[in-house]
Amino acid sequence: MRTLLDLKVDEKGTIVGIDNKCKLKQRLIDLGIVNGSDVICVLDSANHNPKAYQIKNAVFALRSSLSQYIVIE
Amino acid sequence: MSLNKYRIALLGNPNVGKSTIYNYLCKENQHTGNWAGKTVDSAIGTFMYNDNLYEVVDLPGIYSLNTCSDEEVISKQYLESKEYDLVVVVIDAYVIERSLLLYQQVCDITSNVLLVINLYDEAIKRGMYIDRSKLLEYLPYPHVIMSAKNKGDMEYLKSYMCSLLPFTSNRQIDINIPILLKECITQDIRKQANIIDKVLTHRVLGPIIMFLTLLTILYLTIVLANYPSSLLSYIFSKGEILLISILNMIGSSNWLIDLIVNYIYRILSLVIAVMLPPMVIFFPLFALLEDIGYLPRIAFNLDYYFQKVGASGKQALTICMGYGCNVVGIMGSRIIESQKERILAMITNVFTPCNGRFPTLIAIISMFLVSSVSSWKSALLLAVTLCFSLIITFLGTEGLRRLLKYPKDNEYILELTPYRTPDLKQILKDSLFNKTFKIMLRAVLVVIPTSILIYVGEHIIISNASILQHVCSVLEPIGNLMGMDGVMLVSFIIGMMANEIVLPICIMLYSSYGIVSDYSLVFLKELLITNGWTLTTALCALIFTVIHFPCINAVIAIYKETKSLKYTLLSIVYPTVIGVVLCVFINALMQLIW
Repeated sequence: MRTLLDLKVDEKGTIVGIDNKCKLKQRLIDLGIVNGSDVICVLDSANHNPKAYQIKNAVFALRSSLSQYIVIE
Repeated sequence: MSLNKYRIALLGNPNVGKSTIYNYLCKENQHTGNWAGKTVDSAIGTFMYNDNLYEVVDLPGIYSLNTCSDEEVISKQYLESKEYDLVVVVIDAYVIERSLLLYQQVCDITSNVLLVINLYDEAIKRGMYIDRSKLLEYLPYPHVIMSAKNKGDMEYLKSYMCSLLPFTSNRQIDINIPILLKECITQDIRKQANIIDKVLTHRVLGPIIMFLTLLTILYLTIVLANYPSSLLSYIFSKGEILLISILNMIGSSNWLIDLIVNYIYRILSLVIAVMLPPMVIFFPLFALLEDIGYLPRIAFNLDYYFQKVGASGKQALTICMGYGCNVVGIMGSRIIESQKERILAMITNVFTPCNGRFPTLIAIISMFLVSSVSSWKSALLLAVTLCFSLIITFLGTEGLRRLLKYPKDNEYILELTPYRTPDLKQILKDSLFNKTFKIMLRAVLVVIPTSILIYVGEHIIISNASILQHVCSVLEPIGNLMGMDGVMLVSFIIGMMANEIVLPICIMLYSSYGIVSDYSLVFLKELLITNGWTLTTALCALIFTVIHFPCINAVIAIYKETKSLKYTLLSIVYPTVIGVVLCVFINALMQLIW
């Protein structure tokens, strides 16, 4: 199972699920981060945490603790 | 002609130009920011159109009505109150998909909705196209596609909005978002983060650019503030002589002349000549960074360290707000979803030197820590001081989290909003006129009662010394231990009224019985040295300026936000204890090596 964490800069994926353990799941949905969304990793930081992802025209910085819950294909 | 009154509520994601629309409509100057949750409290303004009065409520920027954060709770409660005639939902055309979700949520509460699809010009530039005629078909409800930068668009919005009122249709809004998007929108997906982002968040270049940007801003502040400062101190020193002769001419009694000249006038002129210029100059420079959209990148770069201490990465943004004013930083902490992280952010915000403390830092550095007058060296030392305050914020957050036994809660999302062209005219208008006026007004309001208080304190004599002297001598040993003296501690305590009066009060207390012949830093330095200031004193004063109890307004803000006496007290005690301990330590260290 691959998650957003595994994406390196410029790699693409499609979101297939968000783990229920994620406390901010509702917030992700509000931001349009839902199943079926295409996602590109666009920025990385010095410690690979956080990384920034482009999802539906918007760019979000996510910490590993959150992106580990987002399953991609 | 009858005058009708209507109320319009503005709602939308953060950073979609809501405040720009609000400013245009109400012509009231309200600051617009380029990150989530800049509108810390809903602002209210009014405008007239065709003999009707319209009241506009600018709600905080939110992503949804699912009430994750306090701002969403505020907005939802407002919408449910139905105390409005129209809700204007402002969205960014480029992220129309998620924005329509918010629109839909609003439509579930009320049918009096106008959808404003803003920033269309920028969306076109990025390869997006909206088929207007098809949109009419799939979105047969009031909507406008526009760019808030365009005056014509804004006028159209205004007239269209007003023509909708009183709102007549009661039909439930029902849209199918996926079909609407498929039929009306065409776009080529482009990668958002460009080369600029790559550089600004680069592991090596990113921090270097951050530091250089900070350094440049501080350098410009110091250099540019010099001119108005020296001019003002010249004017004020001449004014003092003039004032005395006028007061003598109209036959004022001696005590009144003493009060007005030696207390009120002296502190006021120090506040305006020494403190005001850097405050007024720093503000537009920082607002520029904010408007361009650099701050979320700073938050991105610093996030790793915030994770380490168990803080929200959004705390980087509240710290940035704190450079302007700690009250704004404290209120702005609402953007942080987790209640516990919010409390950490609020209490540690005081470690960020606010605009009112900047001039004190600049004055101490340029008087005592740089040998020759060199703005670059001063700026560098000031930048180092700010880095120090940042480190203290990190450590202070970690310490506070352990003290309160909060677990590390690391989930967080921050939108890296696109860069925008800053509105220079608005920034300059906002900072040079409104800001200057506000600071002056506040200075007058604070200085007059404080001066009278000090005057009374100095003139009531109990057993051969004034009350103030008694207080100073009680605090003297603690002050000495901290590398300072009683007078300085008294100044810091009185400075709770407003941080910008700390140094002026200190100087006034030192110079009580002499005429201040000019207000230049050279003269002030001599005065301070005569009163026993050394390098150690300056260093400790610098540290205590950064780390001490918050001003009264910040304390009130913390109480309002937490509704807890415990956290409010903690917000006073915690930084004070750290400040005192650090000063004592530095003082002891300096005594050893000196």
